[in-house]
Amino acid sequence: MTLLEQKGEASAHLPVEHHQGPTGYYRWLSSTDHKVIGKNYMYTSLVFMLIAGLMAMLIRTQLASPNSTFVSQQTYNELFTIHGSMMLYLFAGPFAFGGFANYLIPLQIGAPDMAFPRLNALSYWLYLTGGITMLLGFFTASGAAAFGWVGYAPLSSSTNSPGAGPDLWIVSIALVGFSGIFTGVNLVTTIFYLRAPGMTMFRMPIFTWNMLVTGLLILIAFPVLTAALIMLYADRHFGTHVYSVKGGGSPVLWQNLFWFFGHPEVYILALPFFGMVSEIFPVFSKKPIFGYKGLVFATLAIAGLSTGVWAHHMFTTGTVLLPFFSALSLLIAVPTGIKIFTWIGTMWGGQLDFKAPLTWAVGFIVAFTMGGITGVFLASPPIDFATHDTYFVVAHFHQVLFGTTIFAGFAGFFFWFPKLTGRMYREKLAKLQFWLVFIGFNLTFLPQYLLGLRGMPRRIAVYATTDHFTFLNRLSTAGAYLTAIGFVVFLVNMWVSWRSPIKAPDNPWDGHALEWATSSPPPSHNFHKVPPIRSNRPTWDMNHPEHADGRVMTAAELSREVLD
Amino acid sequence: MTQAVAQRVAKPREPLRFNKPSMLGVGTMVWLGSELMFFSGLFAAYFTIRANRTGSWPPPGIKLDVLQTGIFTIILVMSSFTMQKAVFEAEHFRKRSARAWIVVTMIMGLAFLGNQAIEWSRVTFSQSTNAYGSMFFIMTGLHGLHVLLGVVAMAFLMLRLAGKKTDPGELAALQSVSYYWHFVDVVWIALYGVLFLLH
Amino acid sequence: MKRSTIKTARAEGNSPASRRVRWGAKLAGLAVGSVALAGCSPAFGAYRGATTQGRSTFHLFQGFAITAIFVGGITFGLLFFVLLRYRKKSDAIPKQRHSNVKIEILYTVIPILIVVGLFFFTVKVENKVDALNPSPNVKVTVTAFQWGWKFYYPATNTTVIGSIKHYPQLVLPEGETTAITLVSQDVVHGFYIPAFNFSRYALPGFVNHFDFTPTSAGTYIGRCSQLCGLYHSEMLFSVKVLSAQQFQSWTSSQAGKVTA
Ligand code: HEA
Ligand code: HEA
Ligand code: CUA
Ligand SMILES: [Cu+2]
Repeated sequence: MTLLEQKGEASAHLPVEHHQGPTGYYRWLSSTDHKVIGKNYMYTSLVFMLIAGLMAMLIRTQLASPNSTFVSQQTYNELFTIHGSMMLYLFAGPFAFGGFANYLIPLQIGAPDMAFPRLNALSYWLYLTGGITMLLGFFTASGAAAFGWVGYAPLSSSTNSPGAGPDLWIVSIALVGFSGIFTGVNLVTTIFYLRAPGMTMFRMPIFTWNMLVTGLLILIAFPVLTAALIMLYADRHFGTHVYSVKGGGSPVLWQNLFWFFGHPEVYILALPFFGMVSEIFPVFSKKPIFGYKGLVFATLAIAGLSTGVWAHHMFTTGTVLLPFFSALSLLIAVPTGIKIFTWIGTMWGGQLDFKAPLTWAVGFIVAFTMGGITGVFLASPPIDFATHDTYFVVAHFHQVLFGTTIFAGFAGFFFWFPKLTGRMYREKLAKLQFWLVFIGFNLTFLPQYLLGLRGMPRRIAVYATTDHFTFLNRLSTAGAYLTAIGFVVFLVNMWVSWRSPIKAPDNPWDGHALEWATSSPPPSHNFHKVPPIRSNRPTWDMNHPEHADGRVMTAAELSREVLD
Repeated sequence: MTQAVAQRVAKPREPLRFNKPSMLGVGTMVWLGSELMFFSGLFAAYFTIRANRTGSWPPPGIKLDVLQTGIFTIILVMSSFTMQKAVFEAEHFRKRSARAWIVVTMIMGLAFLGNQAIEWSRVTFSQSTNAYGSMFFIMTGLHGLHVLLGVVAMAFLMLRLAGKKTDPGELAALQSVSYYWHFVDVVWIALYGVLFLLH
Repeated sequence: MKRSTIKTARAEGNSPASRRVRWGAKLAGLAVGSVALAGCSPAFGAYRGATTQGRSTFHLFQGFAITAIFVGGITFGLLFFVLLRYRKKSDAIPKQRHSNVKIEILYTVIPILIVVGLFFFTVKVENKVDALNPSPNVKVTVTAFQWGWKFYYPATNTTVIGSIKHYPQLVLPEGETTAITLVSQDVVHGFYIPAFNFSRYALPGFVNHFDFTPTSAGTYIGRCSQLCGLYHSEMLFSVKVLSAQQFQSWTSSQAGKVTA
């Protein structure tokens, strides 16, 4: 602890991560400080993202020409399975919930740390172990899991998918699931218990709200997946018949359990990023968030609805009640729309300062709105019959997933980068990366809508010349390469800011929430003093008393608050 | 967790109470919410399979000793009371008594597990006989694991309560284990109902 | 000084009259545009549907597409307007508006109405697509397996079996209703005919029923849409829609035969 304390103090002048000896790294690894763990999560998940992205490049290369033999069919199936699994389980969730939430929630609510710091460290190690376990699948004799990220029974049974690769996949997701559950417990307890005086629920920043709701969703969804995985493992190894027809089990049961987890999961992945942009739009518009309460209720509504729509992934099974699941799925458009309009409303009448975070956040709205609207198509069972398991779906979910995790994710990353590291990133490179990724992304996924409508199923390694899929697939592949160049620019950006740092001020953006009231990076106990909390943007109130949201205090009151 | 969350009221010999639940208690409650979902997943599987059945339920050839396990069910339920008693005693600074009640609880938990082991070895079907058998072993097995973890947690509690001094942290720990124990207990009642009684 | 800049900012940005005009123009333009589009019935890249069921699905898709263009148009219209109009011009602090209940209700209620409309048409089409004719003209049992299809015509005891080397052909009569019974021998497969705008899972241990009433003769490609293992991408078949007469002679020529 003492060393960490010193580190906190020292870093007010110079970020010290690179000036520590091996003991420093050891301390770093064994730390229970939420900021250290948060950063570990962030960097680890970004590495997983790049690896999964490289797999996507292989996928796209294979699909660039008909009858391609760039990779074998078996390898192809492994590639998209692990690409999807890594992106969702190892990147998107941990990046937001392990990384940003861990780092920011205690700061935003004025707490010294998470409720259970050691549990927090355990979460990270479970996550890292799980991640490595998943990748190990590629080194087994039978290869990695090759049944898609959804692992449908009975394809995932021991007869149809023998070998250690699938087992590693199961174990890996169970580990990452436990990690998520523990982080969920930790965050929810932290938010319930450790808010600074004055930080009422309705003064919490939207980011914190979204993380709270995400935490609750994790606690609802992941345990069901864990149960399903345990039964899958038992079926594979102990001869049970939960998912096999023989013996009286039910293959569709897996689908129900999986999607009961899987649909909330997609909102578990989306809500944190909604929270991030909800912090960014106000700051770069110099306005408060528009319709705060509406946003909170929309978030709660999304969470509530998202536990009741899982069977929209199963419309074509013929085993589910179509109108019910269709109606609830369509309804999710309403609270999600509220969010979109709230963000536009926040910018309305503002002074928009197009720094990289805002640019990326706008990219998020564009991508997400398109993907969300095509989600509404899929929520209509007849249209889903025509498009299910085609590239239309692939395009839909990449637009929403990429929109949230990459566009909103990088918006958040650049926004909080100065807070995290005490340094500034390079603005020009961040913008260049944005345009490369934005154009590349649209070029990758817009043609896929057409491919889907023209009948290209997903998860196929080869297609024929006569299918006339070639041209659109080439466009898509070109887009993916362009995106990759964008990420190379990102790596350059990080390299440059590492080698020749520019010191960041404590509050470079005139931020609103509490994390901007402490130093960059914050001291190990987070705050020397917490400013008075009278509204959902205490730092703004402190810096702009004449435009404060909260009641303006007398000088005496103020000094009393600040002193204690 | 030793965060100063407790405020002792007035005189030291009055029972130790909190003006709000301990942080560990809140965390435990939240975590038990996720445990509830975990067992809900298992119950959902059980009922799906039951709904898919072609014949009677449980399938022919499945015989269970409803009475014997019923008795051990009552023992497990009673162990919830002994655990609560331990909490009560600790709140009144009767640590020795609290420890004794924890030991009683542990014995009852172990007795329950013992019965389960005997049952597993005696039943005429296995996990691969049919889907009912699968669910029987998976559900009782995972529940048994929870009972075992509870007993292990109590063993750690015994170590923590070994000293003379009473700190709010140890009481919070005791309370949290008791929440968990009640939860495991309630889950068993539901399990007993669907696995042994439901036809 | 600060005060005055705030005032000007408000005067420029929030003149309600000019805003309303702009809004109205945009809405009208979009409405006209989408009606025009509907008039010439664009396909938006989708198949028009070679069965009566698929045709209904296509019309529903068109409706959704037009709604999407409308909703997307408004959303992006607002977004790009804001991005261009409210670019940072000075360091003045703009008006700190927290909410506007009227607008919030508006952007809650309008999407609800749209969604209710979409749901209404969804249910209508869904009932058509899923309707089962109690006395179909033809019955076919489709069995999916790794990695091929088996088509069985019980009336004439005709069997067609395919493999990954040799794609089987499903023959259907035009203008008549064929009832399909779909099962799987092993894992989950997806019985998918893009030109019919339709797919359905072949599930092990569960039997699915649905009807096709093809409207135009021709040969169409069919695929397995659900990942089913190694050769999932080569689990193809074709669908040949013959006139009722031709179909009659085909069935009689195939009676009792097994084609592999
Ligand atoms: C971040 C993740 C994310 C998000 C946010 C969403 C959001 C939505 N998704 Fe998506 N979805 C996925 C990730 C996500 N999805 C994934 C990964 C899959 C595939 C899984 C697999 O099979 O591998 C999938 C698949 C999927 C399916 C199954 C498709 C199939 O397999 O056949 C369906 C069907 O209903 C669906 C629907 C929706 C809907 C209705 C929304 C809605 O929440 C969208 C709401 C948003 C908007 C509508 C836009 C903004 C709103 C307005 C501007 C207001 C006005 C709008 C209207 C009135 C329409 N999704
Ligand atoms: C957050 C989620 C996410 C993200 C961001 C992405 C990003 C991408 N995805 Fe993926 N994808 C999924 C989630 C995601 N995907 C899921 C869930 C599936 C379903 C799986 C299944 O069917 O089971 C899927 C499936 C999927 C398919 C369908 C495969 C099939 O069905 O046959 C395709 C095909 O084009 C694809 C492509 C891409 C591409 C080109 C990108 C790109 O945009 C990626 C861009 C990133 C890079 C290009 C990385 C650049 C790397 C470097 C610069 C090198 C760095 C070097 C180091 C390691 C240090 N994805
Ligand atoms: Cu059969 Cu894919
Ligand atoms: Cu979903």
